[in-house]
Amino acid sequence: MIARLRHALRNVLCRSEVERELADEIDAHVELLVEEKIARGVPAAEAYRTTQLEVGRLVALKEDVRDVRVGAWFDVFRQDVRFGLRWMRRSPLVTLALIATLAIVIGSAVTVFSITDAWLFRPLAFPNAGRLVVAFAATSTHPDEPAVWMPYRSYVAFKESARSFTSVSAAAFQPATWRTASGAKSIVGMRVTPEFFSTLGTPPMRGRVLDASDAATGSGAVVLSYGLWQRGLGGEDVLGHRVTLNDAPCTVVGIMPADFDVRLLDQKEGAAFWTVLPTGERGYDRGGIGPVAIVGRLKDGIGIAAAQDEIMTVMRQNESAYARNFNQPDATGATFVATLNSLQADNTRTVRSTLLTVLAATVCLLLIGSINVGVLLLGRGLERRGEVALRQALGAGRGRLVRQFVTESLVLSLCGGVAGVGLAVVATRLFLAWKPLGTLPGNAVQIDGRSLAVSAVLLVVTTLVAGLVPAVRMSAATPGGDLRIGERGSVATPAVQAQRAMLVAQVAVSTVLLVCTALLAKTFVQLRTERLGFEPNAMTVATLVLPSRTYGSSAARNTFFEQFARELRALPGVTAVAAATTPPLVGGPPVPVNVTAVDEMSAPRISAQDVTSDFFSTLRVPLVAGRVFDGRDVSTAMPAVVLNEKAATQLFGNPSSAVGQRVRLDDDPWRQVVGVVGNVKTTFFNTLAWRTEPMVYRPAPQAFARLAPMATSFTLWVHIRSVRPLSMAQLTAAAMSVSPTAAVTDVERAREQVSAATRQPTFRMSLLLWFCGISLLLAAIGVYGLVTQAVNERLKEIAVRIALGAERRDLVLGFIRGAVVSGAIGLTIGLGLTMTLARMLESLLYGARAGDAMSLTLAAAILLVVIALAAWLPAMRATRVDAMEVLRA
Amino acid sequence: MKIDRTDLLRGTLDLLILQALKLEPRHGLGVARRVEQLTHGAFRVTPGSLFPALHRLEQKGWLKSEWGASDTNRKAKYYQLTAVGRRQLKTESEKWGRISLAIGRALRPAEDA
Repeated sequence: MIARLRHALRNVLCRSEVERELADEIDAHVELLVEEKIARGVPAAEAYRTTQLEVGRLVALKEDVRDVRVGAWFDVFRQDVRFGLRWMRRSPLVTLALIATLAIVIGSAVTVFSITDAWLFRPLAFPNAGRLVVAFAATSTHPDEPAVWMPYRSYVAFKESARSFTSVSAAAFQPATWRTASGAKSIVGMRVTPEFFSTLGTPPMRGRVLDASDAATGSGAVVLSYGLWQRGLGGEDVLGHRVTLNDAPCTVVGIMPADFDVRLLDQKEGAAFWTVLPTGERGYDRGGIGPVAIVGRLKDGIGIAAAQDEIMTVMRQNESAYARNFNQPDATGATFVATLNSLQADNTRTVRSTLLTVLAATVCLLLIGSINVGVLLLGRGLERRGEVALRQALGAGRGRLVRQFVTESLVLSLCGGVAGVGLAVVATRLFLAWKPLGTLPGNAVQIDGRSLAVSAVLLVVTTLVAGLVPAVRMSAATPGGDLRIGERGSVATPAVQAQRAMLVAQVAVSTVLLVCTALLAKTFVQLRTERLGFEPNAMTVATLVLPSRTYGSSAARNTFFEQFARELRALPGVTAVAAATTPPLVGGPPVPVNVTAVDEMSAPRISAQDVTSDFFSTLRVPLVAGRVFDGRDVSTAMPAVVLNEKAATQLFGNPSSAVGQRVRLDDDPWRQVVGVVGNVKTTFFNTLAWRTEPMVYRPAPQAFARLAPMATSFTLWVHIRSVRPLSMAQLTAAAMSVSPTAAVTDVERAREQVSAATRQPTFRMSLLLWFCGISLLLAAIGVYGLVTQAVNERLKEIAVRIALGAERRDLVLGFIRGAVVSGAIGLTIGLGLTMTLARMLESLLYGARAGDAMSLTLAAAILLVVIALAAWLPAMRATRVDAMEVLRA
Repeated sequence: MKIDRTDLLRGTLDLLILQALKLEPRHGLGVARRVEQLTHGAFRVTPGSLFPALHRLEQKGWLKSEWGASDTNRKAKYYQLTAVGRRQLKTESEKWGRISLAIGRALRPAEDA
């Protein structure tokens, strides 16, 4: 073994020395033979002659010796590479195009893989993260889409009787204001039960985590995230120091490491801090219904489905012990069900379909690209038919020729792969800077060993696709036939057929990509052109967070807002200001709405929000019947409510009969319906569609009070109609002039929020549009190459036909017809594929179905036109030749 | 008999080369002549099969080579058995003995008939 290794190294590294020795040895052999003969008395000249006959051709002999050497394949490989490089240098433009094609397709696949890997495949940075799950409640109509937090009492029940978990904890969002010298900032943290940190399993970087004693004493201990510690406190030693959250003093007891990134319900970034959920607060006692997410660690061997079944049973049993419970269906028949997801699945709900769609598209692109390179290599192979045939005639084995082609394709793929990984490094950086998905994964996005392994696999795929087919088809050709073809016209050799087959495959994959893109584009157009029911242009929306400690009552909040609105109206360009308890495009928390004197548990649950009196005029929501809120709806007046058309129709049959009726929201006092307004579109979590929901609006002076139990701050969305968009600085200054504790957190134009709501479909569509463009370009190059080559081969035939009076137009049409027929076959196959694949896209579509006739027709038309054009160019050029010149040549 | 390159005969050639080197180191021509001598001229080894075989055996580690001077004081490459080669010769010749005995036995009745 060692001997072989030593020889192999020597053969490869000291090649010239080994060769020299071989030459010497054989020379010596010849001389010895001659001497032997002379010694026997043969004349010298005769001795030389017979010896030469005996030994045979020295070149062949040496070649035979070389073939038995260890690592002989490497020599052949080196030769093939050198030969391949020579071909590449001979047509540098084609070579560059091939390498660029491979670089783009490999680069985009590696980029998309690295991003998808960080989100979906690489486990989260917790010990044994695959066992971490999070439970929410969903409605039975959308059982997979978490719609509601779990009631706290379910956490108690799971902890006591669910056997699927080694540990169960609960957590809830905690938006907070963070006081700094330059004004208050808003951050989002979590309130967690004491087992939260032990469930996740990550130890703190400094200090300690929260435990049961914190819960019992309500010590005001806070654990900071690495990010908040660095950004908010400059990374100084702050253990034991006091910080102010929501105007309440807290003591820093620990700091979590940088990779401790906890998110719930698709949060865009990890929580900034954690405080303990004090036991026994209102809503957070045994029977409490305070909203929480339940984070658990599954026992080994228990699957998510089994655990979900168990918690559903436990929840159902537990709820039945309470008079008002989550088991009863509402008017639409929907009940609440527990849903359990892995923590990673929960964190990636919004981006998963986008990532997978784009990943699938890059795979299509990769196939198209490598097939295209194969078509071009085969085309170049055809030019080399003479060479191949000659080598075959001289005795080159078929395996040797296949190896030659695959080596050349490997050299190309390697160049393309290296360039592609380079592109991917740049592209992932751009992705991080640009954040097209609006959020970044908890795991780092980087080109690491996994990405490199994937690129190696991709390289093998492109090499095989681009090299093997041409190799097999070329070497299958008979040498005699191909040597003759060099002189005469042309026939459809297996190579040409192979090339056509590859074109068909390329068109088929392009069709899939094109149809999917057309569907997504239609979705995009539908989403963007939908009438939203309000006027998002020339409107700024600011998020305002009021700490409950200072602004604990409805009156205080109303007073603050009135002062704040007065400040804003003084700004130039501002024409109207209003506030609501939900952001634009969001329905608000659903509440049961009763219309009869008897409280029904099955009352319809309708989204409710509190709005100031100018809300409808500011947003330009039309009044349908009755009146909107005005100065009459003060806190002491008769409680009022405004319904939207959908709610009015659902509750009272039609809008006009709703005015004057009474409704009861939850366990509030009765309210009178004073008016009905137009519907405003909303979005629902991750379902991609504008929805028209029933909605009830309460006037701010009679509301602005409803808070989840224990919420420590109150958030308002301030809608400002202004010709010019307002800046964060202007709004912060206005807020500061009223109160130093109110924090303006986000300032955005309403139009941008509409865009943000359609961000994922927009991203998907625009990326796929690019891919489509590239695939069309590649298809065009493929067809162009194929037709150019066919034309060149048949130049004499064309010349003869022209000389005999054939119409140029007919000749051109003939070439185009050939290409279009191949294209049409590919198209048919592609459409068949799309029919099955596009069904997976259904959930990403809005206003378009998988079998959308317009999208299919559009895709088909575009492809056929591109193919026809790409065929027309070379065909046109060929028929312009001077027939006599070609024939004379 | 000329040795060509069927697998059975390649094994035979290897064995013969090892046997030819059993007593002393030889150069290529020496090996060829010794094989002829050992087989009483039945095997004539051409350079086309000799050198690939020598190199193959050397790379397997059964032979080693060094440059030396021939009887006529010419520089030539001398091959000699390594320890592994010697062991190989022993096992191969035993195996060959068994095979030839078996084949011999198998063919005898046919001759009788």
